[in-house]
Amino acid sequence: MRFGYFLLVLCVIMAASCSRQNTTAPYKPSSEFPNGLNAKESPMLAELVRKGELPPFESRLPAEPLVVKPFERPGVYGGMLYMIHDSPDLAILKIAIGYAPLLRWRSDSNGVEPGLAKSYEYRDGGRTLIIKLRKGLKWSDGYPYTSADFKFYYDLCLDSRYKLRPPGWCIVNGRPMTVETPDPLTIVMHFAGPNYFAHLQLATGFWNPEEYNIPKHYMIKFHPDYNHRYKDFTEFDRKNLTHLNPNRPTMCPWRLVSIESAGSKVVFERNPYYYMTDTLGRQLPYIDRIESTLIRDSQLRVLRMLAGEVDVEFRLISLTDLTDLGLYMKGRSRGGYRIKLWQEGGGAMSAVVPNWDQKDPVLRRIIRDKRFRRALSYAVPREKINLVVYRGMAVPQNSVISAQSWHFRSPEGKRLYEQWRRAFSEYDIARANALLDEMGLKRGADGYRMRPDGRRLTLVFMVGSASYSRRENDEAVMIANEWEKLGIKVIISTPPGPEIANRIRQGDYDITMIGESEMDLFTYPAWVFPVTNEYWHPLTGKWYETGGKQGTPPDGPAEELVDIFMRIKSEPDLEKCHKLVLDAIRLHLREGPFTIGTVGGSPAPVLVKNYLHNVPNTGVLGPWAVSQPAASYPEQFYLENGGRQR
Amino acid sequence: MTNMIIRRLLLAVPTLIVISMVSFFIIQLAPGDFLTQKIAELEQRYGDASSLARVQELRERYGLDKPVYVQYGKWVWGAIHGNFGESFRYEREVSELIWERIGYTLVLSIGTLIFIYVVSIPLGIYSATHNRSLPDRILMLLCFLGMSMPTFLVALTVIVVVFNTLGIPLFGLFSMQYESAPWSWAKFVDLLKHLWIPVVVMSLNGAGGLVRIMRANMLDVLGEPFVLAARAKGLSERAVVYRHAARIAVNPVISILGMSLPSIVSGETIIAIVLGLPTIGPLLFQSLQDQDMYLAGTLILMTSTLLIIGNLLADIVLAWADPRIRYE
Amino acid sequence: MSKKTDVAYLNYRQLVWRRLRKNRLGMFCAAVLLVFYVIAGFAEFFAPYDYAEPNITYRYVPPQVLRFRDSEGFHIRPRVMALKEKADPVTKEIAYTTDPSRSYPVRFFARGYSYKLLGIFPSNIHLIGSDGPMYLLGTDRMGRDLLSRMIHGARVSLTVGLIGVMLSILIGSLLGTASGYAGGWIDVGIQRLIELLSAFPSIPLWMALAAALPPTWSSVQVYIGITVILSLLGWGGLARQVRGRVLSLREADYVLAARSAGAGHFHIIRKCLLPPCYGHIIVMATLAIPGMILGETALSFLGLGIRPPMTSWGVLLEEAQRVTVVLQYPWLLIPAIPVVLVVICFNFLGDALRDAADPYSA
Repeated sequence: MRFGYFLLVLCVIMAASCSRQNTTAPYKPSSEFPNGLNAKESPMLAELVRKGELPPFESRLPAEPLVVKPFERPGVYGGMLYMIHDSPDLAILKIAIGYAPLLRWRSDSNGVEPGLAKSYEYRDGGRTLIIKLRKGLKWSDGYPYTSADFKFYYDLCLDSRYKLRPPGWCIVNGRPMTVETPDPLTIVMHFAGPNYFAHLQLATGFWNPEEYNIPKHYMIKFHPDYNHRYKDFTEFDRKNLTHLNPNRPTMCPWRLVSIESAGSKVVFERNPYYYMTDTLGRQLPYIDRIESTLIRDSQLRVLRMLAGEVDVEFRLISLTDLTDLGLYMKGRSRGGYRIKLWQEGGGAMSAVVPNWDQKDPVLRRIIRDKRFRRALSYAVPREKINLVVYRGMAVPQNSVISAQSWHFRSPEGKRLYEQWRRAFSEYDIARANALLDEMGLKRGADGYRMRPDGRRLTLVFMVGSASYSRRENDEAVMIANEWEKLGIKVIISTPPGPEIANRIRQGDYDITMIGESEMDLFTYPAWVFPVTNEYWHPLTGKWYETGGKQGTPPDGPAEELVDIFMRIKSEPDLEKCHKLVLDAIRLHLREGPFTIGTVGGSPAPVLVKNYLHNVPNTGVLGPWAVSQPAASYPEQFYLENGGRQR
Repeated sequence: MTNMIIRRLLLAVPTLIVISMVSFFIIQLAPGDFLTQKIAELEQRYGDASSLARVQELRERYGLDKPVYVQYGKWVWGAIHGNFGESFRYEREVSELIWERIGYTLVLSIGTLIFIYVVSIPLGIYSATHNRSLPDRILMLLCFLGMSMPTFLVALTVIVVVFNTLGIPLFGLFSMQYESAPWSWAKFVDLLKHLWIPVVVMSLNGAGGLVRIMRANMLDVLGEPFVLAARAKGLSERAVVYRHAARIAVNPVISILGMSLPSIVSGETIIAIVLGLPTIGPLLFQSLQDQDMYLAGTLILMTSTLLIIGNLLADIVLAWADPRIRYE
Repeated sequence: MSKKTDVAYLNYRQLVWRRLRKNRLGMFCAAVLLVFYVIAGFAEFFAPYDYAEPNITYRYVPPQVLRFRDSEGFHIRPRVMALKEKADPVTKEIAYTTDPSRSYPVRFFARGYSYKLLGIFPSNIHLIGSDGPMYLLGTDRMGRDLLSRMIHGARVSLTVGLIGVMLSILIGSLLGTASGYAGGWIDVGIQRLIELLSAFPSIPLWMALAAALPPTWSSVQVYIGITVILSLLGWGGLARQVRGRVLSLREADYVLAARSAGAGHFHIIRKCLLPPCYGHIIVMATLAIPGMILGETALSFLGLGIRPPMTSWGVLLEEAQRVTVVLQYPWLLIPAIPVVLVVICFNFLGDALRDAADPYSA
């Protein structure tokens, strides 16, 4: 009898787990269109056109589509791409396949190029930015994309009832921009002062474009002012989530069609109105569908990739360190993939960051003395770290921003970068000890040095725990080992992850570690300029951010750096801006290092199945701001023979 | 007996209230909240601090800027109406998230539990009645091995070894092709094929321990005078062992059954995370890491409810099995 | 006839000891455990290398086998073969294999790194040492000797488990007995308390507590703190078991007899109710110690346990929790063996104690 009940319960359970599954249409692999490369659109869409459910190809494209040169050759249509992601917000997918900005970062990260917009222009000394859209752009449901959508977005920003606020980059001197749309193809932004970085911000990440691309014709149905069924913006907000609402139109190459299996799998399908073509005039993207599975455990991801179940993976391999690289290399033939070595673009993985704004006055004076920081830098065992963490494939160096950064493209820039890279990076314990002796930090009876106030010189080294960030933890252990030889007592403290960020922001730490990977100082200046509430200058940066209301005012070299930054912000000439950046670097060489480097320039392995083509062989993958790998045109990736059939 | 049941049910209500309050406060114990974590994440990824303003808005919207008891009140009010709030991380309703996973959790956990008990009780009885024989000793050795294995390591090792030698990736509960397909016999078979690894790994600890406990209890009971009396009366050994001794020996084991209900729901969290199973355990763990208050609070409340029910059931069964304590 | 050794004249404790001695398996396990604890106590002496010093020259060295025979013939003193490097051209990984042409003798009571015996006496003598690299169990990703790390890890893992369990047992048996014997409101109250405490899944409590502990505490302080708190929550299982037993026994004939003979409550508890429970208590204790040790591995897995540079078996197992390790450096999984061994020994010992503690059984 009890067994009977058990069976009943089991049936109920099975019935319960059957429900709530969005079924998608059964997948039919695309065969090669009879005309081969002459096909201008995917057979999947051609079929819909034939049935009359979709307008013909010519009317779907804008008048001047963006033409992309395929990396290897023009590809065939069709196939399902299998990917994985690590978080339900799909961020790691969006940075690959969810990028549809007005202006795009170039794939070599050397500036921006036209995207949805066909041109941009600054006027009035940088106070006005004029964006001209391409003619004939359409949302993924066929509705036209015009400047009205941008205006709709900005009106929401100004609407205090909705969670959006004017984005930081449009605020100058505390005042946000105003937006005008004189005609459907023109967006005019007026800033309160010169704002020459605004166009870069339009291209940055996937998050900025995602924010300002709001389909007015769809979202207006949920706006409480236009639909009185809704009292507030709750439903609006829910419908605006691109990773959760398949019905929301998008400008991205692929649109979300379903979320399945307890939220752990998402399926994307091609956007029939996408605005890019290849050099033969064929509409992109080539790949019909993308399916991605949520896997939160890192070891499971490793297994899936080894098993060949992942078609392409950019960022999740090098997320921790290169320990698994050997495994991936060995498993290539079994898994049917190849490994391309892109660049991490890291200037210092991770940088050792002393707190310039340390609250304890004695310790602060010690940290602000450049001899102390140089001594710490000379004691860092860079070769060891390189071997342990990066198998010797990285470069021991000073704490610098990415080598591929466009600030250093000129000959002068290149030279200065080399100088900066090598500075303070020799391993020389004797020299370090000599510097500390020179500072007057004498050793006590127990061998540890004493501060001027008689207390033992102790540094609390705050890093993630071994399971949170093993790489940083390993590096910290090795570095602490060396600093003990200098007579400094080091205590390694491992608070929980978010707590670390909290403490950094509040300036409650002595020394910490932060991965340094930055390409563009105009959009993200914090590594070089103390103007934001983070990194080595939490309180000084806060002072700048709040216009002097909170934080501590900068002095000494920090003040000089802030000066240079303010000059950059109001400088229209791009070359002069780069030169000012170089001035700041010279200051770093004179007064620094403000952050201490370990190793940089490590490779970022990218996994590509053998049947996936047109994936570039190199690129800079580290910082998200320059939107890789989306900037490398995943639209022109193609699958041979439909890839892996189900 | 009905008195006892009614009394216990009535007592359950204040217990649950206390538990829900305490769980809320405990989640608050950690410094910061989900949004500070979100900011930290955003900064780590995007290096972006300008999203701060929007986060403050979110804070107001979710009520995270209000004192704890207000947040608690809001949650309880919603819970009474069946709305358990929204998960910050998933941006969906808590009830939806839990409902999606509960099927698999129950299948897995009940499967494991059944496996453990079905395997352990007879083995325990056998071991006790064949005390000190060779099979007994081998069995004890296996039990100890099972109990002392660090299960999460076993989980990963088994999967890696199976993958490496057989070339079959057995991650999760379904193969790629069946994952979103509608239910069919083939899909059910596929589920069973994937199920055996988690069930066996999860039962190792439990089964090992339970066999030993069962054996210890049986040995204790077999030494009792009434067993001697029963034997002297001429009852067959089988009757002595199963009808009399086992019934009493099983008592403490059954009270453990009640205690293992939370393990049903959290489903050996670490193993489920390692094996990538779509169950409640990983959800709870992640929600705690994220300080995803409503999700975590609801899950803890659910666990507690199940436990109370489990204890009640265990006591009922205890009273039924051992007539001596029926009259309380 | 010597009256003192006659069985009939021995008291309970002596009876137990006699029976325990006869159980050879139990005594063997007790001896093994003793060896473990001695090694843990004098870890620095037994460990040939420093457990924390990274040595990047010898990373991921596989275990070096001792040989008695080498190119020079047979030796009485075991020798360890030298290491040869080989770099993989693509991944630049350096793999180590044995170099059969050279070997080093293993010396006993050799000189190695300096330490302070028991924290007081400076010394640098170790049980074994060698002129060349001697990694009997291989090294990890930072070139640290696994054997030395395991020995030092034993110290942490073995002691902390004991403390937690002893506390748990104390609280559990006291409250369980009180609950079962007294009945009524005390019983209800304690039961509710147990339910309340056990209704919390351990993970959220651990996480919340880990976040609330001050970061300036040393890693060992933190861990002992967490373990103590856990033990305060872990007594529920034992209490329930004891209560169940006491409930069953409360109405037993001999208890009724004792009560009608005028025995007081405490006398009944101590002499009639608790002794049959000893078996249970000991079994639960021996089941709990491995639970504590395994719990420590779980905590370290979650990142809440021991922090570097301290090490414990849990930390070592957490480091081994990677596909790369299982497939390429499987010797790093060896720390699972002492965990299993210690747990098994505790269990056998517990069994033996249980058998011995019930002198009235067959």
